[in-house]
Amino acid sequence: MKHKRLLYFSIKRFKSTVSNMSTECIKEKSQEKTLTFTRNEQVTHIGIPCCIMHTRTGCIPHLTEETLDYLDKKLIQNIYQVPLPSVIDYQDILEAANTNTLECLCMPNTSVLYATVQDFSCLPPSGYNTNKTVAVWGAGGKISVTPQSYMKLVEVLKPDIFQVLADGDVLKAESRKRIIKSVNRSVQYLDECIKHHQQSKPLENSKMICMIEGGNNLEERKRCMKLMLEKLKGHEDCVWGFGIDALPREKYISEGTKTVIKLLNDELPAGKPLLVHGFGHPLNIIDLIEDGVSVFDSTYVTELSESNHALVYGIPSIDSSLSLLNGDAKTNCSIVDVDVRKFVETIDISDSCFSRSFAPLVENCPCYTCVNHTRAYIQHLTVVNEMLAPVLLMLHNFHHHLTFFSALRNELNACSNLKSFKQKLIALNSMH
Amino acid sequence: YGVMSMDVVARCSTTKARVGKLSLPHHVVDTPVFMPVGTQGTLKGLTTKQLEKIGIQIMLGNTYHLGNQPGEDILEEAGGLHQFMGWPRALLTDSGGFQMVSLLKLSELSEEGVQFEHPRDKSIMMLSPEKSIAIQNAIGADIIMQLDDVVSSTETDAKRFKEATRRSVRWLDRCISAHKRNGDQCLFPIIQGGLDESLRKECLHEMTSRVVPGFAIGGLSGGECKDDFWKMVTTSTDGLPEDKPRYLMGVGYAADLIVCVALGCDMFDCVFPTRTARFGCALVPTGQISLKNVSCSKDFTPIQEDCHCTTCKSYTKAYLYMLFRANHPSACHMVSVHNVMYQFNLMRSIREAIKNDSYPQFIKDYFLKLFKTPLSYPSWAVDSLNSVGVRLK
Ligand SMILES: [Zn+2]
Ligand SMILES: [Zn+2]
Repeated sequence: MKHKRLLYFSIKRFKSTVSNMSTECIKEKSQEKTLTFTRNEQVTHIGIPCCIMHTRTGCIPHLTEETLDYLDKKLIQNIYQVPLPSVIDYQDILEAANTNTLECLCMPNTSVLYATVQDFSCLPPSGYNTNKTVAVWGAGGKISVTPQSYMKLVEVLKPDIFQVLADGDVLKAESRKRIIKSVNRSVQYLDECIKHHQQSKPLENSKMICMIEGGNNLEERKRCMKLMLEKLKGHEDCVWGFGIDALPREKYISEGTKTVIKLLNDELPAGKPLLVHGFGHPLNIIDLIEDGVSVFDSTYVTELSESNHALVYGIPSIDSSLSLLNGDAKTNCSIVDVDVRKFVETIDISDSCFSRSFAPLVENCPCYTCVNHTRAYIQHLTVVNEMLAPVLLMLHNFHHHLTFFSALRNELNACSNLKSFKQKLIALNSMH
Repeated sequence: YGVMSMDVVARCSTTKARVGKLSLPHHVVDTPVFMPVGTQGTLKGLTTKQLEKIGIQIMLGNTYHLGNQPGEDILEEAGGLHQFMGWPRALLTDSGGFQMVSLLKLSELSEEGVQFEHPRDKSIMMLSPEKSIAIQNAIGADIIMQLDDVVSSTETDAKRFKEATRRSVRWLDRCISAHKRNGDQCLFPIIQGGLDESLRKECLHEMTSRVVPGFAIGGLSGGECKDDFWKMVTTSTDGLPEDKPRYLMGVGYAADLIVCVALGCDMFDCVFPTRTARFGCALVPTGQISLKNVSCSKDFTPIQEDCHCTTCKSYTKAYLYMLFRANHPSACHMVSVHNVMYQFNLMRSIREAIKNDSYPQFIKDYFLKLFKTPLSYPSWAVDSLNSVGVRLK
């Protein structure tokens, strides 16, 4: 059941149909492979695999409503992630606004709001969590958050979905002891968050994302999942999905990480989406989808743009794939044989080799940046440290990344697996 | 001078203010105009599309910075700064001299040019009139500036002013002969003369006898006393021909703009509106709002209710307060859009008032809003406006 998590349709639907969903069902209703959110009778459908827009304080880094508008509307999935560190200092403002969070944060009122404990594009310093608290770093410094104070803030935000408080501070090769601690704490936090959620009127329409901890230790991942599922018994309805927290930041995900994800995918209840943060490399995204993950975020775009990188890899679309197959591209190569180190996905645009390159970042890219500006100009902007450099990079990288996701959705709708798509992607982008 | 013409389309019947249409190779510019400063081929994170949408018709680039990076060769290869930065409308560049004086160590000043020592690698650079024009020719702006001998306006040695003014006239002649793109770039002389009226008049006499398409008024806005400032401005405009544009360098505060338009100036530039935006300061008719101030934290209204900029349409002061506290770069972009729009709207309403021949009333209304009471009007503004027939009190 490799792709079973891609098979669920809408939150509403799956409550009644989880047990007897089948591949047949998916093919018939392929257009229904979406997440559905309902707020004030307004229904939002979001196709999967989906890319949540990463924000800080509700604002996509370096962009404004005006510049975000340059992006192709069809590519944007209307779901926004608001990390706690970017709003924790403004609880009083959010309360004083006397409106909903979207309005207070000047976001489009049709957006789906997702609250996260940390900002995955700039994770906090390690070593500040305790048995009772998680450290969150706001603009004014460290704030220790308990499950109670966390849930109170979530009540102020009233997001559509939110992460349950968890101790995910085990990114590096931590000791087994530290990982056990992180699991124990997170299970305890979950327990308290559920209790609070059960009694919370403001959160009656908000659903939880449980963050599975356990670091790189398979046994601990299993234990965490088992304990959390026990706590969740009888409360399944308030769970929207599961997040796999504290996965190592590797350029290419390792076999170890894949094993963890496969395990969770097999054991977690079907129909609830599996979500990861911070991943964006096209090969990783495909592998993660194949292992059952269906929800991603755009922190990759923010990170690349802030480090002067531009996405340049070719995206196989269903149409262009035909000519590729007929050509001499090595589409037969086995994925196992691929040397991923030869895969070129980005360029460092601040490199002086681009100073006389009067071509766009990507030839024929229809984004604002590529239509109007050259690599040489962006290179110049990075050298003189001008604020327009990350703006133009965000616009291009977003366009590129979201186009990739849209191509993935098309491919999955057409053939329900990504095997040939992946082969074409590799053939298109590997240096020989 | 085929590449540029200035049509004066309206005059104020009281003051020396006028409305013009300045036809430049890349755009027709409505004057009086405020030109935002895009030092390094970009304006504080705003896209050229945003600038066009606001209505900006001309902006500035700095020769010294652009000559350093990306450099003359790359700009030439790109087909000039317009192409390089993707800006289809008009551009103006300075000579580079002022920036060199303020950023580098002056090692030697001679008739040949200005020699500088680079602060980091101690290399020696020579900026001559010919060199300045060569770089500006490579940049390709619609309007370029002569290299002048810059003296601080607070300098006290009268002999130094005399020398600098006369040298600037000689350098103008060298710039005119070095200028290779008369067909599509207009070279402006810079009127010097410090704060000495007779020296300014001498400079005006010399420079207006050359064939040039317009004039810059220089050597001011450097911290001199405002009483001297406005007298030098009005002396300069009195000595300049009616049918050519007058560019007053380095002026950008609302009150200064309003007064200097009344004294007959057409073009202005200043880093102030965009620099102040970076620090969270928004321009409004009553002065400025500091968005980092806690008084904005629960103010859920836009910066300016009647502003049509994209920032005021989408964002509240409370939201901008949050973004500034978190050092969000988008916050700078949002306020820059508003401030650039504010200056643009100010100049447009000035032009409208002159066309309706209601400029004196416009001045009175604006001053009252800005200073709240006539008791706070600065005396230099009262005196200068008095000199052109507008009685503020
Ligand atoms: Zn692009
Ligand atoms: Zn505004």
